[in-house]
Amino acid sequence: MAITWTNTIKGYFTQTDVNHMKLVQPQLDLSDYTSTKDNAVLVYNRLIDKERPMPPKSTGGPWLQEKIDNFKKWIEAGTPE
Amino acid sequence: MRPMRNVSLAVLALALALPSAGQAADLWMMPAHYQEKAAAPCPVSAAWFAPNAPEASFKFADDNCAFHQWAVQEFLYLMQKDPKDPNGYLRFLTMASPHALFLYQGDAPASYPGSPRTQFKLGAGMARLRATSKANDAPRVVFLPRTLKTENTTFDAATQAGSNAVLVDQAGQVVYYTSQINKVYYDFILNNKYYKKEAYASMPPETSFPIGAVEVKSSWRIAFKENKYYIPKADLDQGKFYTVEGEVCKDQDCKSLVPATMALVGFHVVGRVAQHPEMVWATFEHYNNAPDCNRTPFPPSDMSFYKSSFDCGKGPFWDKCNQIRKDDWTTPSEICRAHPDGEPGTDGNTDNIRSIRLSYFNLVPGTSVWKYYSYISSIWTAAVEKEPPVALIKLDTASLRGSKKAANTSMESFTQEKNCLHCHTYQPTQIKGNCFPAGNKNLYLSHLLGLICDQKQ
Repeated sequence: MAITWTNTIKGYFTQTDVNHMKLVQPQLDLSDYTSTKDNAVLVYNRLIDKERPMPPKSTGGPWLQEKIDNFKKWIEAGTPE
Repeated sequence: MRPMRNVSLAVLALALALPSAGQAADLWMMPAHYQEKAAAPCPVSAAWFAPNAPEASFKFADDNCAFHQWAVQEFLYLMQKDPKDPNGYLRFLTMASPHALFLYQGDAPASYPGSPRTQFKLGAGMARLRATSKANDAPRVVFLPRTLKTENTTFDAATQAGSNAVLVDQAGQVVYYTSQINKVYYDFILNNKYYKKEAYASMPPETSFPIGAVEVKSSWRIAFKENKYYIPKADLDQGKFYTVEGEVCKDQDCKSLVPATMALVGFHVVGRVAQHPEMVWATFEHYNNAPDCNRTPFPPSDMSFYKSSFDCGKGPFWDKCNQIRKDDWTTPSEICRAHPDGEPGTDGNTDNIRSIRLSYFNLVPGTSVWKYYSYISSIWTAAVEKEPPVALIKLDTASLRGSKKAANTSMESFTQEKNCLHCHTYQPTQIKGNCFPAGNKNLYLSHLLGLICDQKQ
């Protein structure tokens, strides 16, 4: 099954993630398809950033590699909704 | 000492020549898609190229093309020779230095454009315009190394350069940048005493810059220093770069300065137009900065920030290029343009950008140095209903207008997945940590305010 925003990616972000990012980046709403699509590479680059891991440990810690890989596949597929 | 080398004077003279009707620009460096005809016209006016053309109007219709036209007209106005300047500098170089407004000593600044001699915290690798023998000869313009932009990096970023990346050109030289502000911006800060941090605590959050305020930022390569050319002499002789005479640190310790010819490679125009307290953020680049990522490996081209035939990897990640090298001031950076039109954009935006670029290159005088510089993109937000605004600026995705990835390869080289308004927000944390603890303010979108945090208290 192809990875889409609705069937997979949207569920990867917790309400804490959404609230945190809105607080520090007003134009990044991880609960919104368009906002996440527009910033997908930016988000991906943070997910693989070893020096500044995201999400922080206090809110669950970095994603498992499978989730990161799926997020990358979603970008490569053109961020389908 | 002369303000410019002979080559620079020649370039300036050529740049200010009147346009010849119908004279097409040299398009040798223009990417193919810049030359495609757009679906809808978004033209420049030939009159904007005249040496004394008026400044762009800061009140215009809420139309996508009108914003791009404002950006290009304002750029050309700022590139005019300043008729009041005895040194022959362009308008933007005679505007006030932020260091003259937010004085290091914390004192009240002098009237616009401020005292020509200002103290500032000298950081590693700093540079400045070279003093001349003429009356108004003080080196008001200060160049700083172009460092990585992060949440905690302000205009005066040199202090963090040791731990952040710098952009290094293919000649192994650090790229410098500088910033200026116009009289409207300057007087607003001066008259409201916003040059002191205490004034911000009582400021209503919705306070915004007045219509007409302009802030510019430019990036510069070292073209010639200590008897060595870092940009090919032939390119300089042919007037392919706008250059000024400056002084740069002899080495990273910066115990002494040496003369250097500086070549303009990037330019941001930021202006407060009516109903837009977020300001319009427009960016321009020299053609030979870097190729579009999707055109790499790019054939031999002698670009400023890209090694010929280098493969930048697979899109949209381009993970072989635009990578940060920490604490490395000598290894050339490999840069490509991830979003050539700042895409994605709002409806009609890309068409208008391509149209205005083509119109520009059809009208720019063939002898002008500005034919080697191109408009890239702009970003702004939905118009506010009330002027002056009565609330914080809306910066959510739905409110963005123009290019959502507006970036400059010489100034946001490593952060091209962001746009200006990712970092230039109403949030104090985007300026400098705990420096401004009084909550969100519209004024914080200008990071020049961060200079207050470095004041000698």
